[in-house]
Amino acid sequence: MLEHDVIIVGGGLAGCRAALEIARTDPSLNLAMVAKTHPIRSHSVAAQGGIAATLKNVDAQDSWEAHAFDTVKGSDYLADQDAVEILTREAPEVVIDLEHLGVLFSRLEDGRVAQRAFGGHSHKRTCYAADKTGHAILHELYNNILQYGVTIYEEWYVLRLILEDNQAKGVVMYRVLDGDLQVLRAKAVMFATGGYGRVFNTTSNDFASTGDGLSLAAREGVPLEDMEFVQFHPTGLYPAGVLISEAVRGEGAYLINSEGDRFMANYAPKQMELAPRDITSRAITTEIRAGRGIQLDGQAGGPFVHLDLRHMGREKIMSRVPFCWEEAHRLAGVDAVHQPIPVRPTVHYSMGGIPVNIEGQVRSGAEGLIDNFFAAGECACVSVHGANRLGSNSLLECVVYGRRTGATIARYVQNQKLPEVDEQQYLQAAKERLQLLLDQSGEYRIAQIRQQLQDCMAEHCGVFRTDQTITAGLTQFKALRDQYAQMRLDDPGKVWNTELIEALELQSLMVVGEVIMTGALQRQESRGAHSREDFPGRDDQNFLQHTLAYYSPAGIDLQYMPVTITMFEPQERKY
Amino acid sequence: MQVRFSVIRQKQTEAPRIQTYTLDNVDPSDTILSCLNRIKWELDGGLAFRKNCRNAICGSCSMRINGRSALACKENVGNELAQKASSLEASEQPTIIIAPMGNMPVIKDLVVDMSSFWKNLEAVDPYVSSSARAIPEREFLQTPEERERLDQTGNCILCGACYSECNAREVNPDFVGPHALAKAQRMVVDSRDQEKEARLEKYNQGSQGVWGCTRCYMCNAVCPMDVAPMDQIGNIKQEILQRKSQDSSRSVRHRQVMVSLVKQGGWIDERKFALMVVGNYFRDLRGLLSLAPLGLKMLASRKFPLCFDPSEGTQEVRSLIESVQQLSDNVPKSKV
Repeated sequence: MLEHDVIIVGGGLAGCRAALEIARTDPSLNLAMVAKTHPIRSHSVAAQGGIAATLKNVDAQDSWEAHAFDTVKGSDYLADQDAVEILTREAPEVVIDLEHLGVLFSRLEDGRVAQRAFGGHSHKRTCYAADKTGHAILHELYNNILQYGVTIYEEWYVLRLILEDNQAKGVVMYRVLDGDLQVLRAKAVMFATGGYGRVFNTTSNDFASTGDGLSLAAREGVPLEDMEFVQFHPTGLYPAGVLISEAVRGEGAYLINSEGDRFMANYAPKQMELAPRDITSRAITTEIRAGRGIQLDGQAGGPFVHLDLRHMGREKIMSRVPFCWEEAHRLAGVDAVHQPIPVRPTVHYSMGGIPVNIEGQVRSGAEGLIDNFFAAGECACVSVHGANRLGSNSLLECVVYGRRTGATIARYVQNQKLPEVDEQQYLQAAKERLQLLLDQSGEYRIAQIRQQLQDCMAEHCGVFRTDQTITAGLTQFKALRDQYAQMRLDDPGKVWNTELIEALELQSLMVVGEVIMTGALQRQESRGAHSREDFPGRDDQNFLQHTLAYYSPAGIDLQYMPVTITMFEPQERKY
Repeated sequence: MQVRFSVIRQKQTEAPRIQTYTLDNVDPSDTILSCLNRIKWELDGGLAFRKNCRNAICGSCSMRINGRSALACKENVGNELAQKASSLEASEQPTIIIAPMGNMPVIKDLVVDMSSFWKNLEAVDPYVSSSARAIPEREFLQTPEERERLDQTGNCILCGACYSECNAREVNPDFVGPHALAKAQRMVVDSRDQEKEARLEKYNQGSQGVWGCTRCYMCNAVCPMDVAPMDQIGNIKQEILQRKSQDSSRSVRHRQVMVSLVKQGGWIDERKFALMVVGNYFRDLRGLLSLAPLGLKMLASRKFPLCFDPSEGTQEVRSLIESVQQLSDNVPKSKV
């Protein structure tokens, strides 16, 4: 059995920042990171726009309170305000620390870190590295943790979280290289496993964003919080779904419908294209439904609207948002200097996740905690984003709560012993589970079932939802589960069998999809990214509370948990 | 259209073989990665390759496409076929050849073992070291001009394409590779780093560092992010040459003697070049002796140059070199 003091699952921004904090705080701790891709390949690397912090380099009037208010308002008042306060107060400090680590931020003339406007933020507070901010931060963080001798299990897939008697004890994991199975026990287990964009058919997320961490936790009885809040980013590049960063609108691009109108004037007259993402995504979907989309003739891929950069001019496009120009050129054949870019909403981010307190400890319910279990980043829900996340708050959450959770863990493990684990029992169960998949025969390929699942989610639980659509979606899910048992794999081997991994990831997608729909069905109101056409208004009386969904193969139980309100009383959300 | 993909497939213990897959309804704008996904999802679940972001930023899907290392998510079918069009018979079905990267052992199909790639990155200390100076409460100041010098190397996504095609790496297992030295250059130029002199000393050693590069240009040619590793290696060499005298090492002497001889005679007097570089002006007896067999062989085959005629264009060459040197002196250097 492998042993470490601390094990972090996931090598993205939250995982790397936590690892750095643990190593800095107590270099004697034996720290391991497990990731299904090499850490450098994590989805954090794709984050474009930036990271918010009130450095006041551009706007002296800015304050952490203003940042906190924008975040809470953006969340449609579902965020926990104690968590938001920590996020926004610690932001400048963590960003400066990243700069000291060597992150290549873009600069102002006087040499300070540059900051720009971003959707839903009332001041220019987004720090950035052109439009490759995630890349700039992740590469620097990863190279820095190498100095500390962190053991990295790269390209290992975690099959199971070992959780007994309300205590996390380790993981069962599978080496993609050769199929080796291992149990790893630790005094603390941290999940930083990212999101689940692949539950939907159009997403900005990478192939690895399959919600594994969420599903691993849910299957051991850990609740998932607020999973019905799925962020649709308004400007996914058509048809691939990859992101055209919000920074492009921050730098002045227009959204245009088929009639050439800047339609955001009808939805958010003050903030226009820089309205929060939920509002802008609904606006685009509404325009397309009203017949003002482009390519309405039923062509494959469906309709879209235009993102127009032409008035910005070549020089500004190439210096501020070069990656956007390159993406549109490479994937849509569009020269953004001369042509508008086709865009439509794409699934981007999970507001919900594994519930944690402000120290990063995982909750077992509205009251209790699970021992030795921690989470941060997109897979966690602390909840700083509530019902809708503001752009450039997610990288921030990863580093603020990655650091904070790392600090908690470094303290926490000091008086802990390694847990007792029955290694053989877990190895045997894992072996049987894999063998079952390899042996099963049937008429379906993985991709067929996965595509149906993704289409089902997009159709029944998309930007707009109703009781009827979600119920139909849940029914279809049952059929998909039956099909899963009739799925066949081509590859029986142990060496680099990514087909087997895809089959396991599909199990994760099914668990996560069902939790999302169940939460969405029960939340009979519209709040932030969750938009119910049959309940168009926000209902604070009944639903100003967090959903906690307990998954089991037999069904999902829902409970609710109060929202922490310390600074800002809920009011109507207008932009 | 219908396109054939000939994939070099391999298991660790077996010889490589070619397997050809045919896809219908391929659009010229489809990326190579989306075609590979279709093969894996529709035809053969056993085909192994790495992938992740599909947006040319995570660096997972580098492989050899029609003979050169590239990102499968960045290249598309139309361009690949257009490049081959001239050699294509009209009747031939369009075919794209996919193979694993070079210079790294194959694990399975298009997946290679990149551990030497990562280890070599680590070898150049790829992190900014500011330990020698007090950390301020605010950010270190860095002007847009200073920052701009880091743009090109900052774009590296560590995909391995340069490493895969590196000719020096193929013959010299000590050479850390173009990716590591491009990162090294970033650290040398970063105004926040405090270890510049120690770094230059380190990268100057033996043939593992910058002098291991054979200047074949392959890394520049294949890099999908225009990092131009060979240029970055050249930049580090310039910094080293400014600090080193001729007798510090043969690599440094090679460069400096070459420039001075060309200035003198318009081209190289090879007799002097050998004596000065390898023989270190008669100071390196072992070096001198090592030249003897070659010299004798050349004499025997009457190829030994007995006299040296300066080039007719010596004046012109000299003034060219001088103006280039003057120009590079005027470019502001990063602060030490």
